[in-house]
Amino acid sequence: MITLLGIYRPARTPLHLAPAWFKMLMLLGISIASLAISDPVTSLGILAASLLLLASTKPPLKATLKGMALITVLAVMAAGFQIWLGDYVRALDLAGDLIAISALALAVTSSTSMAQMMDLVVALARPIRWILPPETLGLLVALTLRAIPEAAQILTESRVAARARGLERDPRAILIPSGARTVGFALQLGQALHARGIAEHGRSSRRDPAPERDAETEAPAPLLAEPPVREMPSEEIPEVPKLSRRERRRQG
Amino acid sequence: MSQHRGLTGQSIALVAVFAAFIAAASMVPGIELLGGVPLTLQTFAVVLAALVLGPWRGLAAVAVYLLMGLFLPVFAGRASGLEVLVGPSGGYLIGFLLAAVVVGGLAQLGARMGRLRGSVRATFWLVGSGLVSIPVIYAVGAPWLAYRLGLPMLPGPDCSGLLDIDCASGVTLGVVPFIPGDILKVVVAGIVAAAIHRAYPGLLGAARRVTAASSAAPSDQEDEAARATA
Repeated sequence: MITLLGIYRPARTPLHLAPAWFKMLMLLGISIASLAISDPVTSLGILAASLLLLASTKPPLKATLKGMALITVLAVMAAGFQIWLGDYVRALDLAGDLIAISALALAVTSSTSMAQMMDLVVALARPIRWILPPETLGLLVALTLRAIPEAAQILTESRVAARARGLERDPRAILIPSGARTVGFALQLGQALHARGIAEHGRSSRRDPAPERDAETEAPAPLLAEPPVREMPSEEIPEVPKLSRRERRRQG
Repeated sequence: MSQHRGLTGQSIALVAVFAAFIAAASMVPGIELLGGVPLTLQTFAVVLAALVLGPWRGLAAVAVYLLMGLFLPVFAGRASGLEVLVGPSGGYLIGFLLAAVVVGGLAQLGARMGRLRGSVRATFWLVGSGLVSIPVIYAVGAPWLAYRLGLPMLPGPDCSGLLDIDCASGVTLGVVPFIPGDILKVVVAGIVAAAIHRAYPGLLGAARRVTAASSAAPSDQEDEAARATA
């Protein structure tokens, strides 16, 4: 029902081989430059260069045309408005900027894989890693990817259920069940994460060990019973007998 | 310790699922209302995420949604990629980030002040908080749209009718046509958020305060998770 395929296709063009930070920096720099410089010749030059860059990444034709169609219509409308005002230079500059930045962004998107982009995001999030450690960021993205079909299914099912009751034009009949089921799904997912100790690991490793022990001894039996296996220091106990067996074999 | 509050599995799951909900709501076709007017759900989902999750988790959900948009066709109209963010309508998407913080903060404030207890009071408070999102989103989105399209921000003095070209401006093209639908979406989001807070009290920490006052238990994030599902 819903395709989750972006415009990225693996290839070995120069832009595909360029690092992601370079492409993003290029996009940022050229965007600011083309917005700041209001000279139509520069604008058209940047436009030609961007279109060539976009063509050099060999993007899928249909998706690219679809991506460019809307911005072209907007650019034509904006240029038409300026021409109606009698400002031909500004019309060229505006339309050139609009299409150039869009083409450049499309070139970056179609030549950067999701993994590369995520690496860049993780690197950019490094200064705030005490709030958002990289493993949490990765978990967030992975969970979101998994949850998109789930959320779409919840919305669709609620709509079908509302139609069955003859309420398909009542937003409340569709959206209250959708919202409640979404939150319910999220809370179940959170419990599943908690039960596996997934998101707790990075947090507890940064926390001081002493207050954690205090909290455990003082706290009454928790509502969500934690499996005792998770609390055992898993590195030490299996290793100690192994070492002793080896030593016994060596000795014997 | 308090800075790690957003990092529990519960919060991560809520943020991820709501980011996915915004994405899904932007992709599924809109709901047809009585007049056959389609109601797209993107703004609804953003406001709902902020009202349900509070400021920081709401901000995280919107940010993850925008991050998803870099690779997946999850923006409105199945568009994707950087070109939407840097395009003329990208300001609205950036405005979502700001709106999530403001709306979520107001909802959180309501929860702290105990405004979310009664069903009617909660609906009024949440709808009121959600309505703040509209000026915030347009304050970012409309000037950017006007700047990129080379339009004046305000309509000219000769503006007389809807089809008059003097009226082409940031406000008449980028704000006014969407306001009625947005108000409707926000009202629905407030009603839905009130129902969700009724079904799952404690999402914004209101139940936590109540129970913490009655029993001086050490309030850990795990307990909040349990109360949210209780």
